[in-house]
Amino acid sequence: MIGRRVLGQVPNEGELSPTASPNGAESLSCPICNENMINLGQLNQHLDDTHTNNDPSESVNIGPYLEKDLKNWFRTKVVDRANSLHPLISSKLNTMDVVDNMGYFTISDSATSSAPNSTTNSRISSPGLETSEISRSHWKKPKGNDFCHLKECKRRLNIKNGIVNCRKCGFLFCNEHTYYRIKVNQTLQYDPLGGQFVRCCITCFTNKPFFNNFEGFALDDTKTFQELREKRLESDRLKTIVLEKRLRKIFAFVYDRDNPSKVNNSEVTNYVKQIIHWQTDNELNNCPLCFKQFGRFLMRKHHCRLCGEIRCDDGCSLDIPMNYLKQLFDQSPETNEQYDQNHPTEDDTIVFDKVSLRICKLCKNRVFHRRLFTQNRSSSTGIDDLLSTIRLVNIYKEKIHQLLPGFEEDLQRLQTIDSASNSNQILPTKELEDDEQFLKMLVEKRYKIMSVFNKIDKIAKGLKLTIDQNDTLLSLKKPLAEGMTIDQLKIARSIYMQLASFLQENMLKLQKVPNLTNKPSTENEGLSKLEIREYRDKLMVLQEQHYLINSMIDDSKKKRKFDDLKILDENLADIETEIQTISRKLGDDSF
Amino acid sequence: MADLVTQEPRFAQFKLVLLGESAVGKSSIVHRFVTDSFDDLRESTIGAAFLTQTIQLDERTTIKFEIWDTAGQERYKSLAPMYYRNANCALVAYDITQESSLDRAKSWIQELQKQASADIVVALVGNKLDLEAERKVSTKEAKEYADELGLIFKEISAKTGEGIKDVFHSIASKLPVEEKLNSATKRRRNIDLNRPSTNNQESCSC
Repeated sequence: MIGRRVLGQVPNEGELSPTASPNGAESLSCPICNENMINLGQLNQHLDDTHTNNDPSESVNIGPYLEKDLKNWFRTKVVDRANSLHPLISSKLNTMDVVDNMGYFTISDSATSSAPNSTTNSRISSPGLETSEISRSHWKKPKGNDFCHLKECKRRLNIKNGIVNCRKCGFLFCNEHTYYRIKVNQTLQYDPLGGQFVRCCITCFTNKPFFNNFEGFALDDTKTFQELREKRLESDRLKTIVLEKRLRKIFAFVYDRDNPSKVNNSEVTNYVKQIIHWQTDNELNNCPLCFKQFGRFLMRKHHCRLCGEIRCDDGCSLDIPMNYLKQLFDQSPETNEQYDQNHPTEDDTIVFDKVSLRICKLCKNRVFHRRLFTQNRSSSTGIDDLLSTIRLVNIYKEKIHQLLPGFEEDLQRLQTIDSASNSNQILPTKELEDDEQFLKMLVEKRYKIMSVFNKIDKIAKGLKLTIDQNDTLLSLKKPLAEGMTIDQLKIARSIYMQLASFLQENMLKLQKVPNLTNKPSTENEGLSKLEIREYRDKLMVLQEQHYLINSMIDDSKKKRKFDDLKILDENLADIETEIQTISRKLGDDSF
Repeated sequence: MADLVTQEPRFAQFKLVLLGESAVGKSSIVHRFVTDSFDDLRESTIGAAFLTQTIQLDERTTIKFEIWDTAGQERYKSLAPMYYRNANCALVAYDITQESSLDRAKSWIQELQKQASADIVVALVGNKLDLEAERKVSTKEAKEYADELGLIFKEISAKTGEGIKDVFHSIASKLPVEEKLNSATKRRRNIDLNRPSTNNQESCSC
């Protein structure tokens, strides 16, 4: 909703036309960025300038439309007002330009803020002249022995206490009880919109309607604004359609010929000159968009082939290869007219690289912004990636859920066999062979599961990487990488969390696998399962001993047995070298 | 010159490793030797424990044993080589009430002869002499084996303390004290901080 809050205001629909800006204490702000606005027109402009899909850097410049608007505004508001002030000032103001060559405001802030916003109300004039217009006929005449009209005061009125007429009711009061101001019109009625401030008594002040009502009234301007906005959008749309038609014509001119490869730029330009109004060169000294001065050699004048107006080449207009332009135009969804679908082929893409079309920034935005925006929205790649990731992960998870239970059963079987062999029972050879096969199968299964886990882990790590990158970008307040939005980042983060917890839960089961079930790795030249197991046991024992010796060292340090310390240190070094040699032997099979 | 040497107190340090099957009482032997105490409910050793004890061989010779008490459990088998590799003496213990323990002791002795240094002093001791009634290994059998290989042999009891000191004394007397001394005294000529400590349980650690 677009609305205003007006303090001390009687809600009256008819009184409030969108053009007549009220004078009451009110606020109007942009619904997107909350910036304060003077009137709906400004809001309208503001929406176009700041909240279009344009590159934000572009909107900083004051466009020609805004300049025009500003001039109008200045003329109607400031100059009209000045007319009532003094003919001299007004004449001076009339000649003044609101916007200078550089595109900045020249009038100061104080000038804009002091300017009254009402244009329709001709009664209103400058504050210095106001008292003359409010009638004094109802004023009570002081008789010499007056008392303050306020019952609670009844102070004698003299020079010390003051003898003041309330401008509204006309009675006499002391100074203290006339320190109030109220807005009245010429009929002495309270009028927050069209009235002017006059001195009044405390009774008039407190009796005014909606005194102490701080909330005021919310005026819903949505409808009026929508009408206003619709008008502008309509005209925008019209302009866009005109430009699109022109572009199609140009395309038709180029591509519908018998030998399109022979077209050159000057031909196109000549054709364009026929279909649009070609601005004459000497009309302008400055680029109308960036206000840079044109020169004879460096800042050349260029014509936009769509609007025919003169632009500079320094960011305000661009030479775009015809093919690219056409591709972009055909790809984007608004070409529902199926314009010559059969023509563009891969071949003429190469041929037509030399033909290009100069288009100004404004026309480019007009024709392509909406198209590209809708195109991007319909095929937002970031979320698609995430979705496909989720799908992939779900497939992997399914696999693991299928494989893992069977594997666990096998494991339990293995453990019973293991405990049997540990208790020194010699198994018959046949059973041993079976065992061997069983082990092989188990190892294969484990390998399968591990590879699936690895895939999930890879995905998780990839996600983590992008999340980390974007987090750092976010902390630097830079735009996110890979076209990610903050929402997508959130989704990615939660997917990552879920994956991590999934891995933690299910990988733990694999950890329980006895060493025996390790995949017989070919990298460990000839290290059999048994050897690996032995080495691992050794390593474990050594590490235990390492810890023990360390604690012994601490102990003897405490007891100041430095003789022992030397021996223990030597032993510790021995153990460390032993650990190293064994872990080298084990290679990848260590813990 | 000879007089001078004889009057000088001699101090030598030797590394001793204890081997034997699990639960034959290796740790008990060491503790009887080091602290002269016995614990009925000793927990099995983890890894290898380290203790030191000095004994007075004669008036002027002090010998310090660095004792590595290895764990007998199969699991810690791999640790033993590290400790007997450069040990000066080894004490291989068996349980006189357990026949298998003597077999294990024999295999240890074999391993020592193969892997350890050539001049290692090995002593074979039969522990748990206090359990004479449950004896399974005859003194004769073990004694013959030990004599054959030229080992010190003694039957002892860590519980009563019988024969413990004798074993260590006989080990000490067989050790090449002079050799060790020559290399050690050279190092100790300047600083005499390595004063032999009595390592008495009652005294404080200072």
